[in-house]
This record gives sequence, C-alpha cells and structure tokens, in this order.
Amino acid sequence: MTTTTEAPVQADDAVLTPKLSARWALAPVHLAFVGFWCLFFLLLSYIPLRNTDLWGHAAYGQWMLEHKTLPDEDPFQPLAVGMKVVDSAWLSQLVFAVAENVGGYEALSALFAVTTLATFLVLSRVFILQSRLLPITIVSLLITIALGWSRIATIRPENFAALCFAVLLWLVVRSEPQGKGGQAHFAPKTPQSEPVPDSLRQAHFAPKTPQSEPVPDSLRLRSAWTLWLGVGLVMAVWANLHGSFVCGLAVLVCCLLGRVAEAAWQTRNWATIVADPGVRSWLYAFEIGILATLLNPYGIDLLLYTLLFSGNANVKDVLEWQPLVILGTGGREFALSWVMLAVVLRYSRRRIPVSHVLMLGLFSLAVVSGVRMLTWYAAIFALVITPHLAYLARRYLPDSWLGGEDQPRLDKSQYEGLALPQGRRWSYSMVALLVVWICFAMAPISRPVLGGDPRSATEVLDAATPLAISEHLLADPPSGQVFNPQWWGDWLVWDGPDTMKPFVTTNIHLVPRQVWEDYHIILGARSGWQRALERYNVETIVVDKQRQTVLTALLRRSSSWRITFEDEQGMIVRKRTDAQTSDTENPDAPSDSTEQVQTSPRSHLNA
Amino acid sequence: MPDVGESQSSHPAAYFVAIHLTLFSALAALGAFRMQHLSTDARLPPLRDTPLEVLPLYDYDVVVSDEQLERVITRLRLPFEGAQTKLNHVDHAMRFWTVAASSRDEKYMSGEQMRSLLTDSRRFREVYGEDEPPLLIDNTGGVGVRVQEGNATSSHVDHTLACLAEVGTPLEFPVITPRRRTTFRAMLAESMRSFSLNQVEYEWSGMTYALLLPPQTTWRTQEGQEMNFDRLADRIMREALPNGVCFANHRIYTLVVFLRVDEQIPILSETKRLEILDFLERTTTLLEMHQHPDGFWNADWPKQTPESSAPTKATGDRLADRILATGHALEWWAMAPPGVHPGRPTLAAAGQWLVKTIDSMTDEEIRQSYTYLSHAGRALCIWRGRWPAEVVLNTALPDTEATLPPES
Repeated sequence: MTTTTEAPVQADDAVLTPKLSARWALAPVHLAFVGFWCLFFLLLSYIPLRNTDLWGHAAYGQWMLEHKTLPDEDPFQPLAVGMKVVDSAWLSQLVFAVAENVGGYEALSALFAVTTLATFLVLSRVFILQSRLLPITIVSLLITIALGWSRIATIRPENFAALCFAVLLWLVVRSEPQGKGGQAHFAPKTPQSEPVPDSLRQAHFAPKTPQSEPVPDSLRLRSAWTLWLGVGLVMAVWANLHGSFVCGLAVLVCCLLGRVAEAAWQTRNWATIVADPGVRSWLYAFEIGILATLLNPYGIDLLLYTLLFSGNANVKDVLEWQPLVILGTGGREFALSWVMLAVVLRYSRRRIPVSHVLMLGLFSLAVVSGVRMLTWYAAIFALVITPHLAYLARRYLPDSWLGGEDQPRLDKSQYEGLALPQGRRWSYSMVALLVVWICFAMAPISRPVLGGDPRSATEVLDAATPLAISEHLLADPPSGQVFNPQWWGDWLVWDGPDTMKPFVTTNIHLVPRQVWEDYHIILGARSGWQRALERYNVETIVVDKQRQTVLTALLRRSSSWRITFEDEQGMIVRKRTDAQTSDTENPDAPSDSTEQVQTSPRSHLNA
Repeated sequence: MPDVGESQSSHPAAYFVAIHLTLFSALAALGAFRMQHLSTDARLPPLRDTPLEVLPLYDYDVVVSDEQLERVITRLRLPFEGAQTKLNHVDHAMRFWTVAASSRDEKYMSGEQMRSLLTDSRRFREVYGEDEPPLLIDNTGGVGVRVQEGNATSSHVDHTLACLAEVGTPLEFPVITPRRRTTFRAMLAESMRSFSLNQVEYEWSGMTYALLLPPQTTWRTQEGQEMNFDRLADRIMREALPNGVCFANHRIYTLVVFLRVDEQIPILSETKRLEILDFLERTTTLLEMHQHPDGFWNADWPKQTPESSAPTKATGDRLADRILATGHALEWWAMAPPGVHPGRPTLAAAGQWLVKTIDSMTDEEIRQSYTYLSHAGRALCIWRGRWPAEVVLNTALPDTEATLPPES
C-alpha cells in the first residue's frame, strides 16, 4: 500500500463550476429525442440505393460534367432522338455525379442519409414551433415518415426537393402571426367549458382595423424580410433541383389566399383587404417565389413544362403517376390519415387557418390524382394536424408526460446559476453525446474518419439491381438496339457499356408515344411482339425473369434467339444469325439453346 | 421586423392592385407567348404549293424495247368495274398512268377520273354507293383516308396521299369530303399531324414529305419529336431487309426519292447522303447475288436465290411475289443514281423476265396482280425515259389513247 500526499482542498474548488450554459443540460425527453434522430440516421444510412431513376440522374450529371452543357435531347435513349429535354433536375444530377465521383456508391448513400436527416430535422423544427412539445413533434415526424415512406426511402432528386419543401414550411410557420407570447399556436391548456382566450382569437380573427389605426401585431407576419429572402433563395434553388417546385408555389398561394379569405371575412371591404399587411406580405412572398423559380436555364419554360408534365400520356402508365387507389400503394395510409384527422378535429378546439384548409385540400387532390404526391401531402398533413395534436395533448395528457419546450424558458439568471431546472442533468447530456458518437461510429459515413473499408456493391445497392446483367453486357457489349425493361434501363446506362442503346429508361416521358406502346407490346409479349422487335431491329433482349414470365418462356422456345447469359434475376438473349437459325432448325443440332450460356452465381459481386 | 403594413397601407389600394395586376399580367403574357411558341412546333411547317418532280433519268433499251413496252403497258390499263373496282387498284393505276392519261373508252378511267374518285366523296358515292363508308374522313387535324378496311379503301397508310403527290397534285387541289370542301393540303396536314417516326408504315409518308416540304427540312410531330429527312432515312434503313411492305422495296424507293430530291433542294446531310448511297449499294449487291438466272427475285431476295424457274405455292415464291420483287427492284433502280445500279445484264434479265411474264399472263391474272404489275409497268417505262402516258399504246387496241402531260 502506498501513501500519497494530496494538495489541500481549497474551499472554492469544492464544487465543479459548469462552463457551459445550463440550457445544454438535457432532460430525459431530450435524450429520447436525440435517440430518435440517431436511430433514424442509422436507418437511413443502411437503406440500400434502390434501382430506380437514380442511375439515370447520375448518368445525366456525368454527361453534363463531361460535356459542360445541359442536354438538349436524351443522351441515352436513341429512340428519343429529336425529343426536347427540359432537364428540371439538372442541379440534382450534377450533385449526384459529383458525389459519385468523389466517393462512389457510399457517397451517394451518405448524401441520401444526410439530406433526408436534414429534411426531417427542419420539419421537426416546424413541428416544435407549432406544438412546443417534443413528444408531439416526434409523433408528427412519425406521421410524416409513415405517410411518405414509400417515396422517402428512395434516393432521387426529390430528396433535395423535400428538403426545400421543409425549409419553406419552416419559413411559413415561423412567419405566421402570433398573439402575445406566441399563444396563437401554443395555446395554454383550455378546458372546453372555458371561453377561448382573446389572445387566441385575435391571432386569426382580429377585429376590423381601420387604416388609420396602428396595425395590430396579430395581423403582421413575423420576420417578413426573412420570409421573402428565404422564399427567394429556396425557390430559386428548388427550381433547379427538381420539378416539384410548383408544390412550393402552391403552398405560398394557399397562404396568400388563406390570408385574403380571413381578411375578407373580417372586413368585407376590398380596400382593407388590400391594405392588410398579412395579405401584402404573402403576396410579395408569392411573387418573389414565382420570380425566383424563373432563375433557371430554361426561364419560364421550366414552369410551363412542369405544369404540363402530368399531361404526358406515357407517364400515366406508371404507377406513381396514376390516381390513388385506396387498397393500392399509399391508399391505406392516405385513408387512415383522413380518419385520423376527422377524429382529431372532432376533439380539437383549435381553429383551423384557411391556408391549412386550402393546403390540405389541394395536396389531397394532388395525391388522389397521382400517388407520387404523397411526399408533399405527408408534410402538409403533419403541418395541419400538429397544432391540434398539441392541443389535445395538453388537454388530455398529464404534464409530466409532455415535458418539452412549453416549459418556461430559462432566463439568463438561471443559465448563470449553478442549479439546473427540474429534470435536467448534465449526465443526460453526456449520454446524448455518447449516443450521437455511437451512431456516427456505426454509420458508414464515419469510415473515412474512423477507418474501415467501404461496403461492397452488393451491400450498398438494392438486391434488385441487375449487377450481373450489366457486368455481362460490359464483358460482351451488345451491338445495335437492346430491348430492356424500363426499370433496369437507367442502371444499364450507368453500369453497362458506353455503346449501350437501351429501348427505354425511366425517362419514359421522353420517348415518343409509339415507342412506349411498342415497348409494352414487347414487354408483355403481346400479339405482334416479334414484329415490333423487328421494326426496331432489336438484336439483344434483357429480360427480368420475375416480372416478364411470358416473354421469358417464349424466348426460351424461340429459334430466333439464343440465351447468352442467365441468372436467377434475369437473362440476356441475342438474335441468331441466319446460319445459327438454320442450325437450330436442323434436327441434328443441339436442342438446348442455353448450351453455352454464362451463368452467374453472383459470387463475383462480393469481390 | 419591417413595418410592411403601415408603410404600404398609405398607398392607395387601387395603385397597389394595379401594380400587382400588371406584374401578373406580364408574367401571364410571357407564359402565353412561350406556350404559343412551343405549340407552333407542332403546327404544319411551310409547304410547297406543288410537289417536286422526280423524273426518269435513263433510256436503256436493253431493259425493254419500244415494241415490248407498248405491248406490255397496253395490257396494264385498269378496267373500270363500278363498285367492284378495288380502290387500291385505282391509286396504283393513277400513279402508274399519271393524271395525264386519258381514255375514250368508258371501260377505262382517265387519270383525272381516277384522281376524282380518290379526292371527291360525291364521285366515290356514285361509284360505291351510299352504304359504303366514305374513303375520306374528316378529322380535327385535316382529312384522313380509310385504310385496309375493304375494297373501297386504301391499301397502306398514306399510300393514296403519296400517289397524289407523285402525280403532281398541288396543295390547293380541291378535296371534297362528305362534310366539306377543302384541299389536298388538309390531307397532308392530317398525315403530318398523325405521323410517328416509329409507325408501322412510314414509307409513303416519308416520300410525300420529301416531295412537299423542301426547302423546309424540319418539323415537329404530334409526339413532340423533331423530324428531319436524316432521321426519316435512319428509320427507313433501321429495319433488316426484307422487312417492310413489298419486301422492303418501298423503303428503298423512298430513299431513292430522298436522294433525287436532295439533288434539287438539299434535304439531307452529307453524311446521311453517303450512308444512303452505301445502303443502296449493299442492297444492289444482295440483289445481284441472289438473282435467278431467269432474271427474277422473290421474297427472299436479300438472303437467297430462288430455287426453281417455275413459281411454287410457297408464300414469297408465287408468281405474284416474283413480279412484286422484280418489278419493284427495277423501279427503284430506274430512279436511282447510276452509282448504285447493278450491271446491265442484271437489269436486262429482270426487264425481259417481266415482259415475258406479263405476255404470258391472262387478263384475270393481270387483274389479280394489278398492283404489283403497275410497279413493273412503271419501271419498264421509266427505264425508257418516259411516263406511261407518254407511251403510244398498241394500235391493236384503239379504244385508248395517251396524251402528253401538260407542260409544267
């Protein structure tokens, strides 16, 4: 046993003095919030890159980097020659291409995880502003995720657009007029028997205000300049990232019309409506939004093109552009959301702003007419329902369950004092930091920092990606026209040989209608499929065996085609030359047309 | 926070509204202008008033002698059979004889009578009766032609249109549908409106456009695809031989018309012109390789030589198929530049086989194969540097006379 000599303890050192403000000391609810985000980020990080239009976008980006210009026509679909391209996602495509050049598939995966995380972080801020309750914020986030998951879980330019949408909603919510103490949105727990407080009423039902009188705060937008500047920036960037920027304009016009309706209801005087500061602010925001969207390589043509896009006959044949079916993709979620809304509104005494009604109606109609609008509807639905959920939570749940930001804010004296508010501990903060670190360490994004090999292609890419098929085409490039299912077209363009001539990629709106109709005839081996193949002089066919069973069977039996590659996912068949056909028709010739077929156990993919 | 409300509420409301209405109106006007600009792409491009002419180039008597020509084409007049007259015989005959042909005998139709039957619904109704659906169909984009719906309809997409263009029908030529009086322009408009580069039959559309568009060389289809003659040529050359109507011969003939028009008014890029010439040379090589010693070909002309001198019953090797393959090949060669011609013996053998075959056919056999024979007869005439209407018919048949075409 050893003895040590210790320095005498000074009285001033008896208590550790925190160097951080007490606001950094977290409560359990904050820890749960941090845990939620960490788990969500990990989930996003391990979602494989799905075999969708991602590769077509990345290929476009790569083409733009190489040619230093935007494409006038589709560079990858020879049958779309002469079809004008308005590349509404050019900036996203460049981002994809640069990311892939920098860090390969891992970089794309990380880009997706970070972008989607950022989107939901911004949305969480929106819901916090609306509810001031972390549990309700989490519920609203979960609602958004559940409603839009079918579209969220796929990396595509829409991810960037979703971030823009979230930022726009944040700008809208933070600018909405509020009563004293922010009570317009964060009303105190109000029993049904009690009248609605004046402050709550005044937020949206202000009395008629003569122009000569000072405009009450309740009518003004908060931080109007921030709104205008933010709207301008967001819409300008959004218009170059993705064609969904019209959803942003829709939100702005709903805010404007909502405010006009409310002002009209209050004053019934057009001059007063025009003078209403809220009306004017939203009008400016809308105008700035429109003008900002013109800042793109196509000018107003982009807006016109985007508005007309849904009228393209080809896209109507694709599920995501088809009307919503209740028992189909997204239908149940949509129906449930309306049931939930009906129940919540039945018990909520919060007023519904007209702008929310307009937004909900407009985006619901959009979903009904096209399933792909679920992304935007999900966020709008959560935006509309969150204040009511917060109201019900405050009304029916015990305070101890809620915690969150509705607790009195810490004032400066409290920050500077030694005592922490009830429920807050530095130890929670430390655990939160640990959780964040563990999450970071477990995510693939940490590998450049902490070391470790990048994941293999089969780990990063979705299992449906036809890796072996593109590898075979690279090893033995096809000559002439290739017929392929459109859902594999983008990947074949991306990973196949440079000479690849796909029949159709996911840019189906760019191929002439006749090509699209012939594509369906061949795809489903419908009457006339062989004549259609001849008409396009198709020399190679790539078949998805799972989804093209009839064509697979017919090609196996055909003497005009020989199978040159096959695995469990698909097969590649090539046109026989006349001499080969004669051999096949010769009874002495080998009857097994797959005699020299390469097969793929996919073992090479893990290399 | 800026005091937006107070600073601007002092402005008269009317000014505020006016300023913003002006802004939105300007934006709407810009949008409308651009929309109009975009939609003009789908409109009819500027067109020629009269079709370009592609004239005979050669006078090779090794293909057919004067005497043979007179004898043969005299037999290829189209007898008028009232409601039994096949409409595809009429448009073939009109193309063959041209509108310059006249007849003193009611048994045969003159060129103008044939054109009238194709362009005037009143005349059509007189011949085919009230119950027969009209040949001409009024559509929103113009006037369409009923195709492959029976005896009184056209045989191929835009075939009638192309025949009218080939015989020099001007765009203002009156066309009378069951509902209105319009012009040949409306028929072309409908064709261009509904045209798709990848449609099944495109040969006659392409040829019509080549005769009526230049010097305009680009236009936009209703599918939004920008079209030009290079792309049409690519489309024509895309399919393997002998895919296409009449064993691909109409594809080849249209390419030849492109080359001939391009000599008058440039419609092709230099690269495409060379590609077409190369394609035609390779086609000629295949034909030379696979010509039967008697001088004919059959449906397998790109792949093999017919096996027997006597026709068989196999599809593609019947007598009609041989006439079709041989007559059409001789026809496009007759219009093509000399660089893509086969040797004279090939031409002579083909021409003489046709003469001999037609001489040996009965009237009924000629009637049954009339459409193919019209190409054969036209080919023989063109090889002698004349249109059929310029050939003096056999005097043993005094009921018909031909007149020279009007000076153009």
